[in-house]
Amino acid sequence: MFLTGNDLAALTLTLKLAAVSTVILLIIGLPMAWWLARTRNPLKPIIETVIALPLILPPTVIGFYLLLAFAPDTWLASSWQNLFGSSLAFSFSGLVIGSVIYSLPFIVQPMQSSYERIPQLTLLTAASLGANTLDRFFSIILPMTRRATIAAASLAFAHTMGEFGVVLMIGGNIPGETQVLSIALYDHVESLAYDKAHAIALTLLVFSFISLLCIYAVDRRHNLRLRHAQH
Amino acid sequence: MLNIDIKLQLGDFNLDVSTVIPSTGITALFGSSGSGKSSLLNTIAGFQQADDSSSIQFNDKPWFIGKKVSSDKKLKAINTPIYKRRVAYVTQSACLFEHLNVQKNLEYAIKRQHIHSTSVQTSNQPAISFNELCDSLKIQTLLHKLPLQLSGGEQQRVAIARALLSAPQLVLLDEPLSALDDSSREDVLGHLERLHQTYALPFLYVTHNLDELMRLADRVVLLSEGKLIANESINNILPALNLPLSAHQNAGVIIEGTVRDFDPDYQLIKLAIGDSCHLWINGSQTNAHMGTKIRIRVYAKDVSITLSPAADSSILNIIPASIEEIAEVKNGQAIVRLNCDNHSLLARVTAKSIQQLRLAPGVNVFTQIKGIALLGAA
Repeated sequence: MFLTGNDLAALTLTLKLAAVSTVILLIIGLPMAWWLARTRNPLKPIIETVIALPLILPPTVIGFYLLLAFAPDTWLASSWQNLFGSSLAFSFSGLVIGSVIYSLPFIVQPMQSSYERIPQLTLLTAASLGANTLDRFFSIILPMTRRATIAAASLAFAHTMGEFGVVLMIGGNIPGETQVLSIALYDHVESLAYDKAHAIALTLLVFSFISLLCIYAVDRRHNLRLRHAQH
Repeated sequence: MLNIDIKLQLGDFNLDVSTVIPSTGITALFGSSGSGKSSLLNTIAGFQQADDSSSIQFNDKPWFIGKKVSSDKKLKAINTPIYKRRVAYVTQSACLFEHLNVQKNLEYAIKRQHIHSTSVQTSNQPAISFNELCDSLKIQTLLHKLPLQLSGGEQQRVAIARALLSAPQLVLLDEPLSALDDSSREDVLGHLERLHQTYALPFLYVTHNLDELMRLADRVVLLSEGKLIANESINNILPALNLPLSAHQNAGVIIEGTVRDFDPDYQLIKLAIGDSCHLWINGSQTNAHMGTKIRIRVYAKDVSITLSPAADSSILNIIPASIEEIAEVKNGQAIVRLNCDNHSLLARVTAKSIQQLRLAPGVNVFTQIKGIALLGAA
């Protein structure tokens, strides 16, 4: 009951997809969360709603609309084609876009609420000591929310690892290109290869358990240290 | 010199203050809560944006020129960002960065002290030495602790050190002692007094505590309901009977005198006030070098008036004075301003005494001073 051949390729691809998506999620999700935490823009609730939609929509709905958007005659697909010379549908890039949208709330929501907890006066004080906006982000905001950032990134990574519906709709099932673990698992079950299916299922289960355990253990250690410091 | 014309509307509250604050010494912003002291400080620091018809200038450098002012005077609208104003701001809560230990908190300020300042401005001010400052604020032993491990007074001392280490052009203090218990308050207050004498920086100090004001301020900006009532030197504002400070329960005056003698048997310092008048003050010899100038505080409630000098009183200081002005306070109380050799004194007496002794402006009397607090070197 070990991963073999195609399934190992699926594992590599899944890890690569999760890693690339997490990096992109951090790059766009953190500023988005920061903006949402501070803005008084009347459009804020609408943007928050859009970001939260993947939490409640069936992944196939997101996948379906992405499939429509990736059709060669849309502006998105044609400008992508002009820029990179490849199509979005049934490609790794398409999967990354899908994963980013699908996992965005896992970064934005926890980060927004931890940014909201940073006292405004702390940031103003940093500014009065000579720190500009970018400096404040890296010297105050990021270190103060380091644990939350690690937790959110781990959750987004793990969530992307387990994604199924979106990939099924937009990725197809091309081994080495778009076939991720959850799809390979589904394939094995369809062809009644339960042993191979079990290997994948167990891999995902153990991985998810360990990543969640890490998040909670880090949290507990920090709380203990904090309590220790106050005494 | 800080030149402000600040207007700010916050709901029902209207702040409208236009005045000039000198660029040396401690200027206190004094007023009851809700008088607009903190809002004024926030707009000067840039923490809060003043209305369009406001302007703020520091040493001829515009920090803020509102849109309305700019279109009227054909100037460019300016809103200098906080990090370029080089103001140090110390608030009630110390606001230390919790993820950094004390040393790193201090280094945070040092690393950024010259990024945005022009070399011209920093060169004419002596650099503030890290070690000297840590010594005088007694934070050497705290350097490796985290902010959460410090007491309130310690946090506030670190916050003050950090503020000064940012090489500020102006130091803003918003009731820095109000969250502290009495002993830490006394401790930090003592440190502030010394720092103010060491560094020739302008301080703007928000307080509603008259004792802090008397100990620290060189100048007072008096606010009430968002309006400027007075901007005067401490010696002019304390004895002014038309201003609310003299009606305060702890009203009093600050007097500067010269040490003339010391009596070691009774631990008494002889302090000359003016040419002909002197006071005896309880104090140790360390404060009593001949010829040094020291400041004392005399509360109005510790001063009483007699028509003839009592020879059999326990009160040491009985000095001649003439009455300048009398004002009714409330509840049968009155406050009297006296002149002793060109120094003002306040005395709080009952309205009945005024009537019985026939006290009136111009009358020559004797003042009995029961308590004098030594504030330190002038």
